[in-house]
Amino acid sequence: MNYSKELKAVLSDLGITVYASGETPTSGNPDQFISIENNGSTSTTASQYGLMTQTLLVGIYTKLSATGIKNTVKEEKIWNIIFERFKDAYISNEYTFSLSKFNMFNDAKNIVSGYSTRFVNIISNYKN
Amino acid sequence: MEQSNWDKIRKEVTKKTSFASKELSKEIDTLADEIMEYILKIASSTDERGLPIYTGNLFDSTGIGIYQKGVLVAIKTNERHATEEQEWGWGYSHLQNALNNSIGLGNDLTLVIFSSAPIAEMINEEGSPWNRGIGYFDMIAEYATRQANLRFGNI
Repeated sequence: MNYSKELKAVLSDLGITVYASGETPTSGNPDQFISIENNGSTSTTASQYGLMTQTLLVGIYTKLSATGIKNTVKEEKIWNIIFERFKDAYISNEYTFSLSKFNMFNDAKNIVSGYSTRFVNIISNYKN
Repeated sequence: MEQSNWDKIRKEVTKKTSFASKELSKEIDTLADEIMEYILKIASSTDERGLPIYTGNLFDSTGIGIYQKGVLVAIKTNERHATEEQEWGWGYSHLQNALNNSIGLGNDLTLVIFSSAPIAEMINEEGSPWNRGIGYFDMIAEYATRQANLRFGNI
């Protein structure tokens, strides 16, 4: 099972580059991209249903202006799509994705130099 | 297309397994903000020459993370640290380390003070060449523990 690659596929219609865990390059990124990382270990949370759970940290990275100002409009656009898509459970193949109530902090600059970042934790379940 | 029973069960289970109090999430975020404010406060303490008394120049490298059962749920870093010279920024590798080192943090809540400075521990223990920064992280840890215990009990 590969949670981040499945979520990458689910986000492939957004029109921006999406990196699954381990794919994010160290340079040459576009003006906006999404990076998905495994957050914590995989666990079984409901064995009676055969479900495995993995939290994924989704970062929306948006290039800052030359003066260091966030492009709030671009960031919000992607954030709103993600929120709407995962506010209820979203099913894709054998996976289910939904927003975690623990959504990290929402406003950061220069986690990647020159970009603002908005994070969201997404809970993924896999039917094993 | 009509949902199968399995899909309905999966949806319901997912909702339940993802359940966590929004209020708790806010409390965690507030706690993280409080600690970063404290770090800023002690970093702002300077002597008559304007040199930081406590930090030994560790301020820019300091961040905190809060984990809930090994999952990173809050992270605060100092954005000043990333520079153009560090193209792929300190922040990203810092984040990677925060995500990759959560094994063993299985408590309900765990608070971690980060530093990207390789000399951080040494300065905390022995001080900078100008004898500054001794106990810097100890001060933060003490404050963070006190504030966390006030909010959540022992963590």
